[in-house]
Amino acid sequence: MTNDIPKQDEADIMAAEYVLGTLPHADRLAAETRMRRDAHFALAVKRWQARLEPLNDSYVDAPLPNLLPQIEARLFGTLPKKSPFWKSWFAGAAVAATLGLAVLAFLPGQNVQPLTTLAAENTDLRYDVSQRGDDLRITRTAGPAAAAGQVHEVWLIVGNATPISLGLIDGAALTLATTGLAPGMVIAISLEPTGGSPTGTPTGPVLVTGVIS
Amino acid sequence: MTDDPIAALLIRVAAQDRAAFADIYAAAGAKLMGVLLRILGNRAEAEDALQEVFTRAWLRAGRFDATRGRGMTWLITIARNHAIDRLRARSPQSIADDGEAVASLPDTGRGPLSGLVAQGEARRAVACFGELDPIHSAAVQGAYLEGASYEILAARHNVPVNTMRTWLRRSLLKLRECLDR
Repeated sequence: MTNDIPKQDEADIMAAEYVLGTLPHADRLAAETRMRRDAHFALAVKRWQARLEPLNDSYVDAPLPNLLPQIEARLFGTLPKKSPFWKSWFAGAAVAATLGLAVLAFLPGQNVQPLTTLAAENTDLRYDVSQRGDDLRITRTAGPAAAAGQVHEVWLIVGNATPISLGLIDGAALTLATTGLAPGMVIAISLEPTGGSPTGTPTGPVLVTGVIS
Repeated sequence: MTDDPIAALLIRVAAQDRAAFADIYAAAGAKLMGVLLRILGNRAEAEDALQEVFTRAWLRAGRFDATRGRGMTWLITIARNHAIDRLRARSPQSIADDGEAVASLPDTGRGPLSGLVAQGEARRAVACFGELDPIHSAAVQGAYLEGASYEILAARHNVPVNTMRTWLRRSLLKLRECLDR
């Protein structure tokens, strides 16, 4: 930080640079993590979005290809019959997840709707995935957190599409504003360096996976 | 709300209404494609990104709050964030290549805001950008609209990266002061 920016402005400048888009990838991911934890920072980001919003008028329409069928197939379509690529990440994980679900089905529901358990055969690590209203909650129920310098990153995989990062789990749980998950979608956890995958797709080993029932 | 048809559709999408989702694609897709193409500069990648953006819009529609912003703004934020994430995640080599390619684009000498039909908030924004040094204003707009990094902007304006960073930070503080007035 240059020495002519007042210290109290540093967080607000970081929020502004996040909205502007100039932060390097690792800093962008750090800003997104901070938005989830720090309500003041999240508000600062919202205020900068509002300040710079008039610039959006400078974007002009471009010819729109009809990609709706592909998008709908990803979100609502049938899963490919052949083994999708993510299964090669961890053979048996899907079976383990199904077994985990069978146990979960007997637990009292309340308002929480269990979706799946993330598991794999050669690890004790388990995450429960549940939906409560608009919130998707991913909670570590067994096994260790990531070691220092590493983090568990959550991915959503629909069909054969590129995984979508849902966020980083530093502690034991992550709550996400996410609705619309459909049966057949896959949630996976990969091990990534602190700050998350530097490439936007999983770079470390996939630890556990589960299929939304 | 009544003057924001995208917001009305998003509320239906949050209730898992697939017909409303198709309507949003038709109503907002061309604008979002414009955003993605401007930032990514490559139609094939922009089309790939568009699928991601609409996937995310479906998954996150439950958190759209029509009392806190317009529907199109919400969608553009998703599109910009995704496109910039893609840019920043590219390998250092491809970033260097892009830097040269984008930096060598001719400067039209026409700031993006000059094309605006300025009304209300937009008029205030035009006035506040007008208070900045024109070169700094162009750099801020280049960053926002194209997702240009400090390195690319520095190369384009032929200044050190640290100088560009300082320009943008000072410009942002001035904009904040002006826009919050």
